Amino acid sequence: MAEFASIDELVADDRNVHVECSRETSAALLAAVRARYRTQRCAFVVETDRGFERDSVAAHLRFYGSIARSSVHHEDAIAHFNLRGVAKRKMGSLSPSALALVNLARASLFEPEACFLERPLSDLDAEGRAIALSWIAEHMEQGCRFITTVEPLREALLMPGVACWHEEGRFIMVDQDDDGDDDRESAYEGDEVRVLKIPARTETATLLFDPRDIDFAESMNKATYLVVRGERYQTPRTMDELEAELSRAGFFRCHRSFLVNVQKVAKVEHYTRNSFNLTLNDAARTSIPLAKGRAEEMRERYRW
Amino acid sequence: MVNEKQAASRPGIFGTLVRKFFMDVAKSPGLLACCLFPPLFLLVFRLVVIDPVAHEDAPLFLLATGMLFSTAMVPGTTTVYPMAEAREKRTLRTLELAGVGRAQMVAAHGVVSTLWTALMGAVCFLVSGAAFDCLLPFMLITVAASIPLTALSLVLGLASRNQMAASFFSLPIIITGIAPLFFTYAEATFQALPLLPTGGGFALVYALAEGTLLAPGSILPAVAQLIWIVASLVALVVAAPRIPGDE
Repeated sequence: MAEFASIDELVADDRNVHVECSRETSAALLAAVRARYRTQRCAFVVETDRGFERDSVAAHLRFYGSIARSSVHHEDAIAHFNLRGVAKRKMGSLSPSALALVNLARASLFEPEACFLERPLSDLDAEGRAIALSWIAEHMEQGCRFITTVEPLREALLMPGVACWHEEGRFIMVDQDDDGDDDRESAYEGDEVRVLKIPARTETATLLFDPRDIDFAESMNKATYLVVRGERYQTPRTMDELEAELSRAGFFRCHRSFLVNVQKVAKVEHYTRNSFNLTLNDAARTSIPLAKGRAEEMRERYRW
Repeated sequence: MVNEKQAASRPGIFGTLVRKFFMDVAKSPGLLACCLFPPLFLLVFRLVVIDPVAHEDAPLFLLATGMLFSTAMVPGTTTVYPMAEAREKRTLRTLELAGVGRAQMVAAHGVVSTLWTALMGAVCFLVSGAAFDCLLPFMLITVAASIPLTALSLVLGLASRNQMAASFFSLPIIITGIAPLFFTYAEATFQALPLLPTGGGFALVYALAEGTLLAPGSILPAVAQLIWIVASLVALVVAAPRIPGDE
């Protein structure tokens, strides 16, 4: 399993890296990025960015546009991040989702060569997530390097680049299988739906879930979890076992670490040629990654 | 996109900071009220106490009080509180990550403090009803006398972790600023005015009101005020880097 042995090694690598880690590690990464890119145009968005609460969004971005002295006009940033509706609102009265977009808009004003983002997707709603991911992908293709710290790991997998998690001082990369599994047999045979239950454990009971209630399954830190109506439950099944059982119940292995209930998928979004996400129709409009190698298979199987 | 004309007309980072910090004070009801206290106090005092009595020393008293209150209240209000709030609300961190240097921020706050002091000094002068040809010398003396307190305010602003600490730190600034008022009641203490950070300016305002600003007796207060200005700026330059920054 590939890994970065230290923060310095991670920062010295030139790839876009998205790290699941604690706030302490995020602060250490921030310091390392500042040191590495001190002579280049760099933008930073940290969790505690709130802006001057008595400033309007437009005034806030105009101020940082003057500080950045870039060619990007603050009105362009407002339009690009769909902030027209809140342009005259005070920073102190913004919703967390709007504030997150304002912070990204502020970063965009600096036309950065490197960008450090702390939990950029955490507070965003579905629409905001689409805007943010689109901007990140667009700037990656223009050569900007992104280093982001996230929680949970799923957010790291949504973004193009290398996803890692931090463990005992090392940054372990997640295997992202870009090549599909060629010898997979067709999991969908007509209208057949098997009646089956998937077990999950809580402290006091074993729950048995109807596959129709499961939004998706994800593998993380050597454990497998079922997500049901926004709640996560650990299951004793492995991802391969779940795939074998649930593929006939309308589930698709969209990523090495994710198995999605296709009935719950509302849309497939793509931000670049190689970057796909699935958005579910749950209350949180959850996004999960679709590996490049599996996108074609999904397209053929479900004919979209 | 920003076109060439827009780019050329854009102020530098320092100008942007000065404009921003100046407007932050204007947009804050609490800070604006503190800045307006000297002229408002003077106005009420003039209408209620001075005018009914029509004392011949009224303009002198109003000018001197206006100058002291402006130098005592405005630097601390426009410097310590905004700097503490920026640190507490993490906007200072955002500015630092955006590449704004600490020295730039400190200097911008200092300029804004001086501008607000000059503005409130001018309003106090207008309230006092003194002859208009004394306005410019009065404003120059007020600004000069405020510089030591501005320097002290900047140091305390850097040291304030939050607004609660700012309110504690602003008290010695106010007391230091108005101290000359208590030195005017005896001849011996009046001679010791130049020893105070605003004492030289206070004595010069006295001389201005009495029409003796250019007399030899003004030399000592002027030199004393200049020494205070230089000493406070040197102390600021030495002390500021030693104060821990934002984590």
